[in-house]
Amino acid sequence: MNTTDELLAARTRLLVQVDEAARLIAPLWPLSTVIAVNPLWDLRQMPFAEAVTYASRVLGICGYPSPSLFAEEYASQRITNDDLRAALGDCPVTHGGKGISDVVVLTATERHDLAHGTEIAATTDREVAKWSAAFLAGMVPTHAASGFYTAWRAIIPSDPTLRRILGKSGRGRLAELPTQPEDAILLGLDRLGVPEEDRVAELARQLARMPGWAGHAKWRSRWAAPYQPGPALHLVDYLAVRLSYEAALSVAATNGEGAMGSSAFYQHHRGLDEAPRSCEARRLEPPRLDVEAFPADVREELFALSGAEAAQVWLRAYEGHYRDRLLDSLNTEVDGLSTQTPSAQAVFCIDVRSEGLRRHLEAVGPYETFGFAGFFALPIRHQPWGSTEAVDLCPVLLRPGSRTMEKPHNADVTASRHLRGRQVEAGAHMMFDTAKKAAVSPFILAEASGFLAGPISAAKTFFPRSYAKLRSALRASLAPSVATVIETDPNDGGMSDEEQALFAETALTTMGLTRDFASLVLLCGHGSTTENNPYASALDCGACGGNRGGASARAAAWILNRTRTRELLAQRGIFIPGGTVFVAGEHDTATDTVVIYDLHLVPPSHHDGIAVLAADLERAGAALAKERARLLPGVKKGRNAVAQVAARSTDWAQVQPEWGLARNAAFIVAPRSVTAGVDLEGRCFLHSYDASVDPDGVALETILTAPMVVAHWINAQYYFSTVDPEVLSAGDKTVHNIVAGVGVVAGAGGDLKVGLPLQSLFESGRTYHEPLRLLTVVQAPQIRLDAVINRNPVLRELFDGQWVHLAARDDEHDTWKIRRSDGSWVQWRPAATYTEEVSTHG
Amino acid sequence: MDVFTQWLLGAAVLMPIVGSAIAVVGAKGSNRRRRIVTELGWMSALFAFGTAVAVALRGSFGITLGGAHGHPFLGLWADPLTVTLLVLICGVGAVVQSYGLRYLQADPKAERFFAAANVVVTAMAVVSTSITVAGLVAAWVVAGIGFVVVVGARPDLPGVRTSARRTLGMFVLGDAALVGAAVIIWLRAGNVDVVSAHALRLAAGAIGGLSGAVALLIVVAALSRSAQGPFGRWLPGTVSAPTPASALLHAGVVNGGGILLIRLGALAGDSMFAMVVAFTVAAGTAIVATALMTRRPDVKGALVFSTMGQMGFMIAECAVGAYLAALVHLVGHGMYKATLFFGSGSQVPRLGEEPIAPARVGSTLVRLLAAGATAVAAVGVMTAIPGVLEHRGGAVLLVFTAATAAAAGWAWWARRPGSVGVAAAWVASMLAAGALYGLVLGGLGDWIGPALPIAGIGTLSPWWLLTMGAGGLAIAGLLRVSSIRQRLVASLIAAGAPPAITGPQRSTPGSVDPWVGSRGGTVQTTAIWTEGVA
Repeated sequence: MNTTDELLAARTRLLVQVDEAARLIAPLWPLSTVIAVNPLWDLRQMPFAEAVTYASRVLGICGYPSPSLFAEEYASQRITNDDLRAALGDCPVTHGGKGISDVVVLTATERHDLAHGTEIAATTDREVAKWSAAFLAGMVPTHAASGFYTAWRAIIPSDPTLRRILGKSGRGRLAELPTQPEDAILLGLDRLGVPEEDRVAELARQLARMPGWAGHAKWRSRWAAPYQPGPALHLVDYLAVRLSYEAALSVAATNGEGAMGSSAFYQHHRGLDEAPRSCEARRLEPPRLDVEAFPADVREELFALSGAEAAQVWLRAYEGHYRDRLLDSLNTEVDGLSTQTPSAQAVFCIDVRSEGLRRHLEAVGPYETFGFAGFFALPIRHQPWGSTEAVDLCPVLLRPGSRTMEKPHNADVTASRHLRGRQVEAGAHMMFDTAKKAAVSPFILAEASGFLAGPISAAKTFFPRSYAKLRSALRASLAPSVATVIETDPNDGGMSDEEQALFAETALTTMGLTRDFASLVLLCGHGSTTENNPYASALDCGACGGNRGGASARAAAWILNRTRTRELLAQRGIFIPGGTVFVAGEHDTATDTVVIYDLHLVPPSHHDGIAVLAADLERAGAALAKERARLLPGVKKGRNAVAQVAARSTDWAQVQPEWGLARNAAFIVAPRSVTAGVDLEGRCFLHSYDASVDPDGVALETILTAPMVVAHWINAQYYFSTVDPEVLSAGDKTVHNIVAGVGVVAGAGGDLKVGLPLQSLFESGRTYHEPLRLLTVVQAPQIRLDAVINRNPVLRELFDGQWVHLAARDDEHDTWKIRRSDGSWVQWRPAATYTEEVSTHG
Repeated sequence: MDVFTQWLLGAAVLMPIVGSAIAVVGAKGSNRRRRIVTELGWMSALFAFGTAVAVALRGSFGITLGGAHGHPFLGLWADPLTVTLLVLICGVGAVVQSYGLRYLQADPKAERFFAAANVVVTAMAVVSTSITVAGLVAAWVVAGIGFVVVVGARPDLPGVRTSARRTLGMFVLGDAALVGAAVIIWLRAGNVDVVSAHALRLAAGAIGGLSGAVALLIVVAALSRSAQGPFGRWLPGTVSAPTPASALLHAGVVNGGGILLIRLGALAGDSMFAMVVAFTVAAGTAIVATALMTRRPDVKGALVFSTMGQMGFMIAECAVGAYLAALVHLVGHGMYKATLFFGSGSQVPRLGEEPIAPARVGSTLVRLLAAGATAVAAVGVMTAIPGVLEHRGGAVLLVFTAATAAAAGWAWWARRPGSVGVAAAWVASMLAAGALYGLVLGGLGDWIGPALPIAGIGTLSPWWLLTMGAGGLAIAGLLRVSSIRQRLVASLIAAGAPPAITGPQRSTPGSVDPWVGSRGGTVQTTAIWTEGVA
């Protein structure tokens, strides 16, 4: 074997190791489309408890709610003795995994730092963060298609900081860096003396030093579409830069003797790994609980458990209490809720925020509502009119299949005025930006515009709503709004008639709407209007890839209204009456208003119906806004709650415009009759499912493998951000500082923040989001459900590993059953009855 | 009536400190109390505005406290200069608090912020309006301490402790210099009345041979508060405090250097050496910081270095005796920068909202012509306004205005969007902007001019300001030379980067996070699961 082959083999091996190491890191989407993700998603092959233990060793995270939260919930009876008894009597506590205790938790340089008081790792962090940020902001000169490592390697000899931290000789060594990033990693690992078997662990820890930048790199390498704009910072490049710094710094620290470059050194310091890294070191004083307050049986068992075991019991008790309450509240038999024909049907996103609107809409009139993923099963790459870039409107688990286009309904004068107006606005922005950054102009520009900016600031702060109205009026006069239509054209990457019909069939079957069509069917997406909010996209539709959902609804409605689609659908056995019209809408979750789109496409016969629907939606929205106002911090009591809620969405000083998906807890797959009339408190994802029209379980399989996984990601993101706000949340919003438009740092710099901001999870000092693992509730025949689970490894991993809990029943006459981690089912017994049984038998 | 106007002035200055007291004694996390504090801030801004109206209608007036007749110990003075500053400070204070009321809604330590911010507002108001040296210097020190508390209000946030410590260090240095100057003045000339030109002339005579030292000490104080040159290291770290703290800093604290040099201009401007020092440091900072600003990847970092550069411009204007220009700059820039900080969360591009670029692209020649024409037009409009050229440095400002207009014209014609009508509207708006700016300069000049110090014998020629423009152009030019570009870019990126970062892993054990924080427990102490603790 010649050296070239050896080198190639080494590179290949390395790429596999990098992939393996990166499992620990969660991808971090850019701010323009924030996606909630389970931070431990790539560890899902392990059971929840094991993955959490592993991550707490290597990432230093806390995987369970803090003891003080449990203490608080116990004191307020949110967790009762019965819940604890049930949890203790539940399946045996699984603890840790084999070999987790001796996992490598420090990098070679971290050990060196600990042993010799150097600051190699911290210096590397600082320099890598500096260059990553500059590279992503497009400030590092790059040659076409060269990556981060190449660009860095070219500019680094000019960096004055290097002279300070490496000395003259160190700079010389950096000039000898290999041209390929893979080789740089190999060289770095060599110089640090990392033995082959420890490489994955070393690389994982290298990434874990700064989960934010590593997460961004992982997003770019593993999740981003190839056409995603912006400088590409890949994992291999990122690691190459990191290890080059570490290697150079360690050689400099050991006076060029290369003392670190021996595996003897590496092994010698392994003992330091025992230094406390786990979250106990970070957790505050232990919770104070009155032990005597616990009944004797609970006390004996609970306090005999080890830390992690007890945490699992508490968490299960916490979850069990909610599960009992939820299952208890669900309807057991269909109580003829809507015997009369609905005046309209409305399909909403599964998002927990839709639940309230559906409940209130059903209360104001005879409406039938459905829950369905907000992209309406239409994975599209959408081209908004007048914009250069297209938007991927689908869950990130999918890639868009076809293109849609927004076009003016009539290509008239207004259309070109609108376009020109937007161009003028963009031109003005660009002009200001250029003058701001030019050599001499910033001085006068700043003071002259200050006299305009000052009064505007005061107006925006004191009268946010009036200012917003004024601004949109100005915009409208500059760029008058234009009636548009969203179409898909097979000649332009769009869908053919057959594909459209296939989409329509899949969508209607999966949502269980294949007969009894009302004359009006509303497809309602959602989005959130907020001001001055870097995390705005986190409040938009996750099923639309972190974008607003209106366009998806419009495209779906356009397809479903086409005569050709309906003809083809009829051939497939779905007959949509000629008098049925689909209309698209968008629920603004910040204000609880609903806009209905494309009225110019609706036949006049339906105008009255739409007027009634719009009025009812307004009433329902107002009722929901009032309900939400009670929970939002800072809403003044006794004043117009609806107006206050609306004002928040236009307020640039508002860091908590809405609660988003906080308190989400369950995913319900069932006909609406099961949940109709029940106040689910905006905590449930509701997916419509009618088992009778899905005999082969295809729809159920889709629901569990796609929307449920998205719901799990959201749920897990909220869970982990809440249980470990220090490492896994984005921290306090008030100090956020946007970097390169892709992420935020806290204050002056450092690592990109991951997860959700504290303001989305906590009220001052109080946990608002209840950290519970997702409970999936399914009404479907058990055999079908088992079959679906068994043929999908991901579902087995999630349910067996207790990442998601599952409760099911065959139909509304059946009793609820709970799936255990070994795949068996047990009857659901509320914790209270459990105690009774134990006491009678024991 | 006189009592009424005096009451207005006094209330505008003192209202914030009352708010501060309420915030301190108030119950923790009480929204009502925070709201009252904010309302006091608004009242203070209104009163400040009322004072300005009173001055405009009836002339200057003051309130004095203690001391013999004609030689007050402390006092507040309202003349066109001081009320302009007063309106800025109180207005900024009001907007910052109103914004903070919602922005810091969930902040468990918000009371501390409100209390300290109000101390800063009152102190800066006194710095702006004090009659005597003693009042001015004391308030200056209090404002500095108050601001350090504002920055350090949330010690749990990453970088806050370091930043507060560094800020304190730099302020101590500057304050020591100013106190030193005040002691010399006091010993030689007593508690000088800084409002009266006559008293200042007498004082300058009394200080005599030490006037150079006094001027230099005042300059050092101004440079340190305005984050210039070697004294500027504290400014970048302050973004680790919540956004409203930055807005307050950039609109009402960092421009204190300019306020000081204008108000004590008669003393500082007497020494050529001090003015050369001030000019050199400030002009250098303006050139370098403005270049650094363009190489910061983070929004707030770019704003910080922009401020440094702008403050350099302001101090340089003071050093050449262009006090009116410096005043207009510190007021205008303050409002500009506060607005940008408030809106710093808006800099995230949303997909699908970027409009299609205009198709037509102007050639270099056309763009040059456009730039030239815009510059000539803007300058023409401004010179047509009476008073613009009359104050010191007016002609130089015209040069800078022309450069700004040229840059705007150059940029606009790069992608000239729209039709002929749009182009006409654009030309009209450029002319209007020039006219408006000219009116501000001319109008304020007429009104404030008499209250400004007369350029001292030490002040440089206003034409020196052009070196700043030349320096900026030189850096821009070097960035185009490929052999130097690489090195320069690397140096700029390195110089602007934060010195150290705090990762979550290296947080100190046992620090109390106020979010998740301690929620007082019940009786007995047993860990639920923390092994080994029980």
